[in-house]
Amino acid sequence: MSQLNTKAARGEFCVNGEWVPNQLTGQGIQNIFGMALGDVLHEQMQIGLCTGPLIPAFSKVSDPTLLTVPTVGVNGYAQPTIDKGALSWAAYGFVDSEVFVETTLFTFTASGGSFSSPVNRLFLSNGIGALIYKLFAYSQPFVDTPMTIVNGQILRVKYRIWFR
Amino acid sequence: MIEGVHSLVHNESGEEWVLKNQFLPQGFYDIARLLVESASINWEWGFCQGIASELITVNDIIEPTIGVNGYARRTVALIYPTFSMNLAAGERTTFTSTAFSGFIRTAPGWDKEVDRMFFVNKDSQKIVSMSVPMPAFLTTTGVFSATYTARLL
Repeated sequence: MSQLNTKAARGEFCVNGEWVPNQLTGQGIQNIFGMALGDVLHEQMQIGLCTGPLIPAFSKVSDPTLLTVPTVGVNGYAQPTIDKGALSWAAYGFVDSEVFVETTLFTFTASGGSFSSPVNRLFLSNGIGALIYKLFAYSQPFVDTPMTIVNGQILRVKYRIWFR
Repeated sequence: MIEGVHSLVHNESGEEWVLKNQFLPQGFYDIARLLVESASINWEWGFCQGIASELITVNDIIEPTIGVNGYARRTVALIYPTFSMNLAAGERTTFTSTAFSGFIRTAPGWDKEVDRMFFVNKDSQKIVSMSVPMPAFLTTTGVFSATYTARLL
């Protein structure tokens, strides 16, 4: 955490009420600022579940095999979209001298069966489905051992970024 | 906090001042607000004497009188393409303004001595960014151009 806190911005994911630190990439902060400014180059982000390595290679275009993501469309797995505006972002403000902005709450619900692969991390990307084109943020594990999201199970997640 | 750079150039001589600055929490607040709301946020760019602090406003600085010997703030819309984002080498993102010309200081000079540049939120009058001091008070007259760049990560 101390390394993350030295940067101008840091992010964190919330999973069922528990906050999980993350690595926010350079292209992630670029995209979020660009989104705020209405920069034509900004991209919609997706929030997703995955498993992956301890330290991902934050290349500009990530290796799509780097993370294992449940198959979109199988038993209800979908990746909600985050873009500029109140539909995606719910709150902002000061805490002491730090400024935060936080997304709305998104839900992942397995229905009709389990998601196709176990998960223990979250990510932000511009990817569609299982292909991660650009990795914007990547969480630490929210459980040590990847868990299978079984039929009827719900994960409620959101993302928050801090500026300093 | 992050550091940015105000680059001020005297159009006639090419003399340049490169002034590091502090980007203040109130600047981040404006950007966070833009992300959530369909807000229209304008900053103004000006010159002053003062000391940066987290919650500084225009009441805490010494600024030349607007309209005296050419002094005027420049209005800067906090929106693309006035500001744009770029990913530089090594995953450091830069937040960069377009170049602004037309800061004018006519003889015998503004009515207050200045050694810093600042951005202020036009509505709240809260300072969002302030440079370190120039090596000396600005004495050059004429027309100046400026750009602003900050590195975010």
